[in-house]
Amino acid sequence: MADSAPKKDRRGFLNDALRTTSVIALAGAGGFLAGRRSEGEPMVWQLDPDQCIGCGHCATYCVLDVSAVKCVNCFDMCGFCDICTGYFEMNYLALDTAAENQLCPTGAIVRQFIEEKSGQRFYEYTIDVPLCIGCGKCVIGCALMNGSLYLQVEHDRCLDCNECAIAVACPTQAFHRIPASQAEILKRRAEAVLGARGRRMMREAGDDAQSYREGAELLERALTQRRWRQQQRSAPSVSSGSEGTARDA
Amino acid sequence: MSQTKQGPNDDRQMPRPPHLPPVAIWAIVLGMALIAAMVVFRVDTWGDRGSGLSPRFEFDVSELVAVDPNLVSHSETAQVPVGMQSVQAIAATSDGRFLVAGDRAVQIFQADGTMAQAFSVPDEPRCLAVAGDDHDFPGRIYVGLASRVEVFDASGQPIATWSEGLDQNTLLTSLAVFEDNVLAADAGNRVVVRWDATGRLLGTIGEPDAQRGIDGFVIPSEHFDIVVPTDGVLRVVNPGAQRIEAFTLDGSPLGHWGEASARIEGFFGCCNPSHLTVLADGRFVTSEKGLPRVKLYSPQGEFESVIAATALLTNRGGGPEIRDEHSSRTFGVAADSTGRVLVLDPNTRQVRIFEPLESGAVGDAG
Repeated sequence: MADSAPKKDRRGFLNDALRTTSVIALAGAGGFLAGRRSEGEPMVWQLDPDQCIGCGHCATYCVLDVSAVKCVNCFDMCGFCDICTGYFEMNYLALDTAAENQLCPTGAIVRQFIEEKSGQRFYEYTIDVPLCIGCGKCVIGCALMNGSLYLQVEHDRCLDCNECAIAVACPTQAFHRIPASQAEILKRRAEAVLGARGRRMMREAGDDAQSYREGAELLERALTQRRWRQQQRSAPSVSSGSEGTARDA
Repeated sequence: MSQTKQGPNDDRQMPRPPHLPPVAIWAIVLGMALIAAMVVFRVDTWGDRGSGLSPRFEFDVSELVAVDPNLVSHSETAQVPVGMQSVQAIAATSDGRFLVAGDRAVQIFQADGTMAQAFSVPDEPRCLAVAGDDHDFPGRIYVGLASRVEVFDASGQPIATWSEGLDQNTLLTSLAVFEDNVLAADAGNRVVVRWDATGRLLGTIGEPDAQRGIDGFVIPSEHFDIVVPTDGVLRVVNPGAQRIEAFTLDGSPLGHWGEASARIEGFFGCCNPSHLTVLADGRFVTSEKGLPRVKLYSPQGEFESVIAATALLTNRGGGPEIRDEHSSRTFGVAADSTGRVLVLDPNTRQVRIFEPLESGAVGDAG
């Protein structure tokens, strides 16, 4: 029997080997490209400030020693007020920067005089990020008035755990997986005022290309938020790994 | 020291060992343990409901919300539901009726709370005023949209649209009518616009003018209310300055009252009061945002009493609710000719009616 089988010469063997190798290479390349196409944009954790109740969990449940959740100030919503309810204790003794008058337990809000106008003094409030632990106390105080202070996950610090410990503990399920390019979740009111400012800048830009571009960027930032909220409304319980909430993950 | 021994069938009571404390002491210890356990459960920040943060991180408004019941001068006597998704403004007429604007409509109620009629408006209304008997067109209804005024007759038929003196920055937040003057608070441009009864622009009030001693208005948020009592003097809320300013109708400043303070006598936070109205006897009713409270001031601006305390308006014992969709927005106020104070509650979408307490009665501080 063995003698009756046709003998394969070297040329035939090499042809077969080449064909087989080509098929494997083509299949591998196809699989690689298909894999690349199906790989979505990286997702990150972010906090929806419209769902946040300032419970303080962000400060203590993060796996980092100092939470990756920090306060931010949306200046378009801020009144730059002298009597800032996000900066001063409710029963402040004086409107100054003395520690006993400050609402923030870690002194993470910086108050800086800007101008005096219409008989009132105006101040800018910025966050000293390394000092902020994300407790949300100022967020509650500010919400009594304009609500320009709110919490956001800082992506430079966040480890982007598969199961975010804060998201699991969050009593209002305010944490979401969002595309890394979106990065932020604005308050609806912030989205409205940013969009309005963007439109106004574009309308008034005239020949100023930079001003027009900045206006367009603001408008796009607002529109990104609107699109995300629309997606949330249309698919409120998207499965894990895409744009679901903490409980989904 | 000898010990008493007791056999298995011995019925004699075993004497209490001398080293055990009396029952009373055990009871005290047990009671204290129970109290300690209750305290831990109530203030525990490390439990399931706690954040693990110390009390220093808690936002406590309990001291500010607490009101002395002796300061409360009114009680809630009725609630009138408004069939709208969103309520924006309220106004009262001289004959006891009241109007509510919201959604894209205006509803008119009889004094007893029954709805008499309703009519639609072309866009979301933001403010509302009704002409009195001294107006050229008594009963006319003025509805402020974002940047224009829609004029309706008493039956709700559209008559005209006014926009002279308004521009793309305009954001109307309040309307007032005095005799033949119609005035609108424009929060976007930080002025009060004045028209005559035909819609002809007569001028603006409140633009900064150092020579006339006008600083201008500070409006950190979209709350900017005006009222003109029977004395014909325009009162304008300057919310960023936490005071009420008085002007003649030609724009001359006459003075101001009110102070910034978290105490009950003052106006809380960065920008209050959010709403203002006047009683028939000239006393002012203010409504504040943040920690909602409705208070009564004399015609000279001295604090008199509390009409509705924070706890009564928010029905919450805990801390403030900060989510926009759940928070107590601002409470509009109006006063009818009988002295009733009408509070427009955006959370329950009701008109809540407050009337003066009988003398000697103590009010509900919440």
